[in-house]
Amino acid sequence: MDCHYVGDLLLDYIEGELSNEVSQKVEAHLRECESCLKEFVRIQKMVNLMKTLPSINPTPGISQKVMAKLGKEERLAGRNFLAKFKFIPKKVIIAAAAFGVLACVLYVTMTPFVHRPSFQFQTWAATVQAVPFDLEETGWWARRKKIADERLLPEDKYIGVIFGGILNQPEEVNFLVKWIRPDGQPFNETAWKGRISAGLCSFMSNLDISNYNERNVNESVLTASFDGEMIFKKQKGRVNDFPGTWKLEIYINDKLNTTLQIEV
Amino acid sequence: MSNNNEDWSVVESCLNGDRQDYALLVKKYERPVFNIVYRLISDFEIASDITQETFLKAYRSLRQVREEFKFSNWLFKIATNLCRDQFKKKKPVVEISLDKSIAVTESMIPFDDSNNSLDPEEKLVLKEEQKQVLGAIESLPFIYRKIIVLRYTQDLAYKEIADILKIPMGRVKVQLHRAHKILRNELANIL
Repeated sequence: MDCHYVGDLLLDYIEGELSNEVSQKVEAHLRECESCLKEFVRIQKMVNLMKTLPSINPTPGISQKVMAKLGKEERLAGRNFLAKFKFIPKKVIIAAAAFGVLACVLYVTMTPFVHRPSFQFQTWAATVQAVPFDLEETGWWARRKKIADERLLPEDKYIGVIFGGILNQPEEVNFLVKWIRPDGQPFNETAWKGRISAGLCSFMSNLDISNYNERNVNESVLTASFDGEMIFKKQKGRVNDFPGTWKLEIYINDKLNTTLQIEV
Repeated sequence: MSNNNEDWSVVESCLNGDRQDYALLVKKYERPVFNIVYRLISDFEIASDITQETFLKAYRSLRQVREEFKFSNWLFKIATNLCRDQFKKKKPVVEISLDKSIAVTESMIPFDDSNNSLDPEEKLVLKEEQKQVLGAIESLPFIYRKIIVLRYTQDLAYKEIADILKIPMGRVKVQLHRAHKILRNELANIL
């Protein structure tokens, strides 16, 4: 071992980081080399000085201060309800808040159709409201989107009407809805015969009937509080094939009550 | 029960709601944490604040701490990180003049005078040499200073230092060697 090499090993030797074999070689060199021994003594002294540096007394009362601050933090956390949920990732909070807002919006927008007292009218004539809608945008129909998606093509157009009301006399009525194509030909008809006691009637007419089954139609009138018979006449063709002004005729007890127009 | 196991049982007790038990850990480790911080920052007031912040931060993160870590080393890790942040924020004034730095720091600090076996003259010499060593440590760049402080004020193994500083053990060795080289040059007059 030469002096240069030993010089590099001296600190590791003092720190006890060398193997026995290398340590013995270093020791053998130190017995023979005065300058390396001097260097060893210097390093050893410095290490000893650093190891024996006096410990400093910390500021008095650190633990009391820490515990007091922790107590204060906990009291504040107790006051601040949200602070208890700090462990919840922000994304989850935002998503929950967005969901909450969406739920509120849906509730507020849909509630009038179902519960609003001002919808109490004596006759159906006054109760009819027509709302052209888009399946993608109308929350009311979004719930049915999944079913529709399974059966309908992306380019399929939807036309429909939502009409709501509460009939004060729960009597039997004949309720008929006719869709008339822009070319004046009948597209389809749906008739209800029975007691419409209350609630909202909704109706959707659309699409290639080959993709549209009875169950879907029932879905579309699910919200009607209807106790009776429904007759659905299969439609002809697809809405897509007839762009223009569609007409919707609503008959109550075989008498034309309302005519609505919808652009497709 | 080992020292570390005792610490972890106190931690468990804290997690179960016995916050007051945490005071035991603070009392146990306030001195080593303070000494590390002071040796790194060289400011008594700031060291006191950082020591408190270390324990507060540790308490807030008790649930995240991994049990394979020695509790004391975990505290040292938090403390060195806080010191690093402080150092970045505002570099402590460390003059090359040893006399000056000693004058504004060590003279104001109460030491543990445990070298009772020495006669008064030897004590005086030792104290003078220690002051020079402290001044030299203060003048080291921060990356070397923290290695020296952890190694010699807390007698931590290379592996523990590597864990605390999150660096490979080889780098601990290299930095320790470099720090020694600087210190030997600085302290040539007393070595």
